[in-house]
Amino acid sequence: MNINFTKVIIISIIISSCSFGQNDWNKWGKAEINYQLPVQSKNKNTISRKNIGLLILTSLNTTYSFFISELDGDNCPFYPSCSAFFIESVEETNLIKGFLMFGDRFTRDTNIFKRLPYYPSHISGKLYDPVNNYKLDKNQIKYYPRDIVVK
Amino acid sequence: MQKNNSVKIKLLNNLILWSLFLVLIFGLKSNIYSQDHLSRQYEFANKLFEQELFFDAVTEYKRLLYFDNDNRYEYEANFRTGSSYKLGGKYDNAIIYFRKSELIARNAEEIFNSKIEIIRCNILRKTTDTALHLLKEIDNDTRFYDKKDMIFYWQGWAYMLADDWKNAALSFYRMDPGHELRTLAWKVENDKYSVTFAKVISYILPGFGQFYTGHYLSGFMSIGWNALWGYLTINAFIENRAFDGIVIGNLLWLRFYKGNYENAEKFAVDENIKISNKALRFLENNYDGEKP
Amino acid sequence: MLLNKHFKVYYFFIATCVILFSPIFRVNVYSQNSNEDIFTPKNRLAFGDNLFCEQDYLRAISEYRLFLREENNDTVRFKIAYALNEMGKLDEAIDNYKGLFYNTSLTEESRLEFFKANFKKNNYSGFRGLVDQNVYRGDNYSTVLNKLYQISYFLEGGLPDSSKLFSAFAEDDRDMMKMFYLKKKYPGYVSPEKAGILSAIIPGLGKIYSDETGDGITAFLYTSVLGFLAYNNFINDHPIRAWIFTGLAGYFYAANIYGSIAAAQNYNTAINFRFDTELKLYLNNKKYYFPDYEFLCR
Repeated sequence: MNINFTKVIIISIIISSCSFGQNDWNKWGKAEINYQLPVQSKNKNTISRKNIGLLILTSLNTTYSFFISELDGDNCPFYPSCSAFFIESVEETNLIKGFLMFGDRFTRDTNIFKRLPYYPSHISGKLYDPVNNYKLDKNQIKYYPRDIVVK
Repeated sequence: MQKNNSVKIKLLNNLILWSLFLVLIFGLKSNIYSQDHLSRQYEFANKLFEQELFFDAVTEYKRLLYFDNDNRYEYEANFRTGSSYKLGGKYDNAIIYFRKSELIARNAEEIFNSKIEIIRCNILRKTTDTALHLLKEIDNDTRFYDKKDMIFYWQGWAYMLADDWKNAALSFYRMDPGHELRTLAWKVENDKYSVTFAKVISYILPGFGQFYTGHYLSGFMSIGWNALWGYLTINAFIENRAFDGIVIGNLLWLRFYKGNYENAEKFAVDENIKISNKALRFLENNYDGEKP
Repeated sequence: MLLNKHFKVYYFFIATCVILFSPIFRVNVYSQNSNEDIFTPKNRLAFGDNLFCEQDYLRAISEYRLFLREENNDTVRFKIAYALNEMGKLDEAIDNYKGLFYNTSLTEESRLEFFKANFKKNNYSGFRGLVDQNVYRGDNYSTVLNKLYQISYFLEGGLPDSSKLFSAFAEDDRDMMKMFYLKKKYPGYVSPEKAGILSAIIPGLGKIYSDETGDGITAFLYTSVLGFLAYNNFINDHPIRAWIFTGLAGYFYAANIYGSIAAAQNYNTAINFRFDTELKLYLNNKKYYFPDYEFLCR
């Protein structure tokens, strides 16, 4: 029995969406109606005051996004974007590791070769590439099948 | 002897008549009684429905359907189960039950009601393409020729939630030229920015698409960057530093030029969404007419 | 007299007809449903069973619980636990199965399902601990339980003992187990350390080794171009620029070693994920080797 992996995933998604999509396994009440079109929330640049390194880094990031990032178009194919990835990785590990993770991310970002099949997609239409998978902590790595949309 | 016999026969006769009468009465009574149970169950479910306890209402309608062997309440129970699911926001389930009720409907009126409910669920679920397709189908159906107004009305709604205000206005116009929603749709259509115009004007004059949509700061900054990198690029070429020119032009000027028209487009789209959402919020909260 | 007799027969016939076709008889035909109260325990049970078969478990459970207030029924209590299990409320299901362990007609089945619910909790060493304790184990289904016990090693805790594993399965399942066993034994992992060392020798090689060829080439280009620029500037006496390029080249060199290790780890995680998904799908198809209970509408 050789199971085609893509098929396995597709089938399991179909099964899960059939049986868990709209069952009555939780009590529900009246729903709010909502006609409005979905608005993509912008990721806000907040200045972190956790420690001095982060303060400088986030201030720089805010300045960068105000003067450059918001004016030079959409250049990052990933979610979270490179600058957000950088801030998050420094926040969650340390400055040195964060820098190395950013360098790696930058390499992968500028990779002009085959990129698509290596990442799952995110609901914003970008490729999903979370910080947790690059912290060198085996227990935090989570695999996302390539043909699903995360979140 | 003969007399005695005839009396006996009479007695027997009477007895049988009486028993017949009694049997009829009791039989009828018990029959009414059983009907009473179902109708009471129906009323009970309806009461839950009116109290907006939709989950429990569905349970009771399902119970009614299960015990209703003569299918007396089949249409109503299915239809109302669908309505409960719809009001609970479970549109997929709602459509399943409305479809069931459509299949067992007893007349054209009931079929129409079920179909319209399916369409309304599709509108609420924002699968407006399906809704419009179904509307087209019943528009061509000769059974419903006297219901054109209703069809146009929901067509207008489907277009509104599909963010196609021009067609929405047209649909409402075909129903009633002076209709409130027609005015609203028309206003939204006129208020909207032209995405193409914003983009094209930014191609020609960087920053002007942003001005058109009211984002002045972003527009000025775009002008600044484009002027700076444009000047440096051209200057490099004039001074015969072709390599510098290519690098600056490619990596910086082109990047900000692209960002400029992308932003103009994005702002126009965002503003349009804001305008649409304002109108949709009005429909959500302040519109008194029938909603999907 | 003759006439009289005829009359009697005649009346008797009519009376029979009347009784036969009278509403009272018709009512009797479907009295089990309509004539009596819809909310009797018997009707609740029937309706609950109907909901259960439609997999409308939450409603079925509430009907069953109301039924159990009036009458005791082991099957119904088992079905409640089963429905909770299906809805993913494993802890509640486990408690309900425990209530059926002693003095019921479904002792064995509930014990088996109890272990299945524990298996589904993804805590496989805990599951094995429970089996080893031997407290809750039933007698009839020990072969099924042994199968789950052996398979649980695939999902957590390393390779199972091959002889024990294969002896637990019958001939037709053994091939499949052999496949899973070999896949587990030779998973085709890449070594993160090796990836790091490869990238240290030639930038990007570790990435190519962990199947990220494009990233590897990009990393190689970055380091080599920046290194060349540094070298070029040193030769042409531009020390400041040269040192900047050296720094950048070193930065990308280090980042690539780091990224290669991460890529290797991600590659291995993907292998594990595929193996687990395949195994779980197989278990689901086999229904965990469980017997088909008639009353479960499976």
